Amino acid sequence: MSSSRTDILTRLRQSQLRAVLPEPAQGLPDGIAPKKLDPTALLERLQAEFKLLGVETYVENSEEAVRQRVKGLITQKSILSWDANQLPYDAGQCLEGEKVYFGHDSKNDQATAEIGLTSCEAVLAETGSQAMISGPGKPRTASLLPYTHVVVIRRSSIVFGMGEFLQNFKSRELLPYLVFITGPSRTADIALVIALGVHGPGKIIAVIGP
Amino acid sequence: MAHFLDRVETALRDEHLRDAMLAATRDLASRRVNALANLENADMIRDLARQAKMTMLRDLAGNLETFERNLKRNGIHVHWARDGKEANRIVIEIAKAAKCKRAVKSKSMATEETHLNHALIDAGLDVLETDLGEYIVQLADTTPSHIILPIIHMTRGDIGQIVHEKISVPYTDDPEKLTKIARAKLREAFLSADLGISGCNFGVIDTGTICLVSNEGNARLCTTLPRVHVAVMGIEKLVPSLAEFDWMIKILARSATGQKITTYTSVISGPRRAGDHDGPEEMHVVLLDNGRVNILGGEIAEILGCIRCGACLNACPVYRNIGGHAYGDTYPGPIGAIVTPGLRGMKDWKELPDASSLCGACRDVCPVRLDIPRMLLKLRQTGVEEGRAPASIKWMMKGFGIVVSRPWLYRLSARWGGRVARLLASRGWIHKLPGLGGGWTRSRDMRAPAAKSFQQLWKERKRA
Repeated sequence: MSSSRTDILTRLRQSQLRAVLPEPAQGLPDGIAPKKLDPTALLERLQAEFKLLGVETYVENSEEAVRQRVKGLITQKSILSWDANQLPYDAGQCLEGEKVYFGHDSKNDQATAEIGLTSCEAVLAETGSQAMISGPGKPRTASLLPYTHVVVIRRSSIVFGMGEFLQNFKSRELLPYLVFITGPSRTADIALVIALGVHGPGKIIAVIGP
Repeated sequence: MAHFLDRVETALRDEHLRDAMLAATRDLASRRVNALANLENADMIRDLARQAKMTMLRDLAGNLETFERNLKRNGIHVHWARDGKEANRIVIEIAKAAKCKRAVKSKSMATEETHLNHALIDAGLDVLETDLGEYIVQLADTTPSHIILPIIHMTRGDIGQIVHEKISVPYTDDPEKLTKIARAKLREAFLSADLGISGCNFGVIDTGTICLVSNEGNARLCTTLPRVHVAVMGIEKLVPSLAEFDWMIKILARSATGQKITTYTSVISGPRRAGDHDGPEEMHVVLLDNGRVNILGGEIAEILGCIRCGACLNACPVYRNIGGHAYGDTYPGPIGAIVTPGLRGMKDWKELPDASSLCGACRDVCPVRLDIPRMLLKLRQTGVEEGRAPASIKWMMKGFGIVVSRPWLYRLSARWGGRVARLLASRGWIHKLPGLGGGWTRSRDMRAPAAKSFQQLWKERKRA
């Protein structure tokens, strides 16, 4: 195995000397300047993108309204949820009296849940993407296994795009497990017809709090 | 395998294939145009992305060493494979050591290249492709025909029939119903699998990260549920840092499907950590050479900047007509016409660089602006210089040179050649040319030459 490593690297170093590659272009900037929009513009853009993606969106102006909304969405259903203390606006209260699975339950049990309930680290207004970080109390499965995914979004967590979000992570730091989720799971493999929910959730409901 | 020209002929005679290819590629191509038109600074981002890839390639060896170091720091095991056989052996050894029995795979061109599925099945493992299209491909025991739409060549009726026969469900050709059937079937497999196999869209050097994109979510499931995850990646798939990764993501989906971003973009920097509820306990990366080192050492090194979006396929008039299978290997279209001879050697694949009209559409749409026509010409030139082109081409070219460098001879042959050709035509088209010309009309009709040549018209105009 190590001999393959040595062999590949040795031959690569010889190849590199002969490589015909285009000359570096002159006058290119170092990167793209981060984009800042005011909170109202960010929310508007996000709502527009969610609409295009088919994400059902509720914008609530009080914590109480968020809880009522979430309760209405999940009640009487089986739920796979992040731990209550990982949900903003005390939305964890909505889980009381419901049938709930958490990250520590068996995968087979988790897979029976109808609704996934999570928050997310940030949302990208440019593309309507949820930036999810998983970890203790925040299973990846909650945004993946159930057919419907309810995501509770802090309004202050809306940023413009992926570049603006990734800036928070300094290079050479240990990155957490990250996934950007943009709309429902989809495929166009069969005769170019869009079908939703092929593996992940087919329906996403976003509740944006104050 | 049948000869290239026979594969082309088979494809051209398949009317359904041609209709399906034209509809799909046109649709994707127009979505791409809209998506890029709506991206601010799209041209600059493409320039930046190109520059980042080319700079990375200049010291691929050093970058791989840094990448390896950072993967290991993140607790990821790293393996190096010189060829497909070695890569497959490594995956099998990992599976055996971890006592894995059932593997789920998300779409990966690298493992298509190594024919990993067959190797795993031979080694006694269950393997299931989980991308919907690839799943159907596996059920039908065929090969994908497009990088991002593997079963673009099948009708919904074909697909309904395959699903009906292979997994014993009532026949339906409704894409939504077929999708639901596949979801249920594959979900069982995900929950019982102990090995997840994926490719890798981008490897981020300075964070030691593997990035995967998928619209269906199967790549996420493959890297979340099984207790072991193996990613097989070509050694060229690196970007320096998260900033460059962001540029690539901005142009990848827009070029591929016209989406702003793929539904799931997974950014994975290691196995599950203390307190995590899910993710693999063990994670491996297999770095695959399989001919890439040779490609870097020559005229087509630039092709290693390809991010596999498939835009050049959709833009290519040849691909639109003959589809993916005619190219005979993992990578079809303009990109395949360069990568395949590069990876597999010119000897058996010398015709592929000819499968292009050199119109340049591929270069125009390439998100990282690869000069595909230049490389195709280079490969053709090498073919001729190394004596692999048929002798007839050499004589024809020589003859052509003699004729066009003597105006009187050119006029004479244009006049008489035109007359003869018009005799062969019916309703303005020639279906079959005699002698060497037969090669030209074998796969296409030729317009009959005009009654008067340009030179004649010019003369008459001057007289008038």
